[in-house]
Amino acid sequence: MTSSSSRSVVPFVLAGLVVSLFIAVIVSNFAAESPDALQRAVIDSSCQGAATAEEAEECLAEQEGDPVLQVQPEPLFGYEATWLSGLVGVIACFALGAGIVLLLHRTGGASSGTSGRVR
Amino acid sequence: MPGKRKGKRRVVRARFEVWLAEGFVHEEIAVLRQVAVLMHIPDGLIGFAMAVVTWVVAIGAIAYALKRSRVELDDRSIPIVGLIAAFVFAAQMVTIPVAGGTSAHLLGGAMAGIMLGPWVGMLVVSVVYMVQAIGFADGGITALGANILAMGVLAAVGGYYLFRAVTAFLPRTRWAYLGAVAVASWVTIVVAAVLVAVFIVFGGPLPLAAFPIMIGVHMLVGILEATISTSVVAAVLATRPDLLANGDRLPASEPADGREVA
Repeated sequence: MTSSSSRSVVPFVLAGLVVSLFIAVIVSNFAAESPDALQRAVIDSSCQGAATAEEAEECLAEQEGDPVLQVQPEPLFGYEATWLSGLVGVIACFALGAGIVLLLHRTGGASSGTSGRVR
Repeated sequence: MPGKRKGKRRVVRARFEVWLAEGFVHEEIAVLRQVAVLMHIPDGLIGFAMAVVTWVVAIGAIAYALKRSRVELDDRSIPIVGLIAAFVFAAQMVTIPVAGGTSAHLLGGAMAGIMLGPWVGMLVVSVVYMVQAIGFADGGITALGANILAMGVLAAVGGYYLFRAVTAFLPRTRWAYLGAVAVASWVTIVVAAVLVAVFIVFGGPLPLAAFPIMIGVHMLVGILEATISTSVVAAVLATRPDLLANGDRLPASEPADGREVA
């Protein structure tokens, strides 16, 4: 690493966290409702007339009597709200990721200070 | 519908019909559907023996990654690692439409490996899968070992070394660098899909037909993976190239000393 690698990472991390929170809390609410690839295969083979996702879902529900079409995994921890899952998840991942590194560092990391992360 | 798209869809459909012909139906469709695109293997799709084996191997891999990371990390890395984990989690929440009226989301293993180095990158995505499995029931607990192996170890470590291999033969330009990111991302997604198929076919209840489906689907999903990963790496390359691993592969015009470009 060159000398200027001591440049602060704080602005970068803050900006990144803002972006991550924006994605997890806001953008995730607009996650695609269109069927995924395998659903599309099902639709193509058995519901060829369906033009929209809604029609396809109806057709599939008729065919199978079972909602196969949930695009998102079950919302989580019982949270009804996507944004709350996003908020909690982002904070948890940041804390756990940073925590592991902090712990590694504290418990006698071979490299303190400026030794490179680049292998 | 444009011809190219139609062709791809026909391929997927043909594979699916083979699958149906083997008498493989509804519940399995629901399960494989989730695995196929979100790739996270849920509980119940991996038998006891495979769960134990994958957990043991995954724990070994994590222990090794912790050991190696200790040398790769400095104190600046603490928030960066947290940030990438948080970003990958956030990005995985967003399902995006891909070709042929389907949808998928980023996995980010190769991206993390290329940005942070193989072992730190592997730890980062493993953290995400742990949080998802334990906190959010996204991917099973028994399948967590398998998920970490496929989407963490294989994607991050494999993606990193594939990136090194590809860039070794390329000039040190921005396009070569980003092109290598795209190639590594795409290939790791397809190979990870094969590994997931191995787990759920040989360690679970699914038939061999899961292989062509997983591969076919992920050849498309990999395009999304490559697009997002490359965009993210490009953004970091433009703002803080000094934070990227693989400093020796950075474009000659972007010295690793953090020159402002933006």
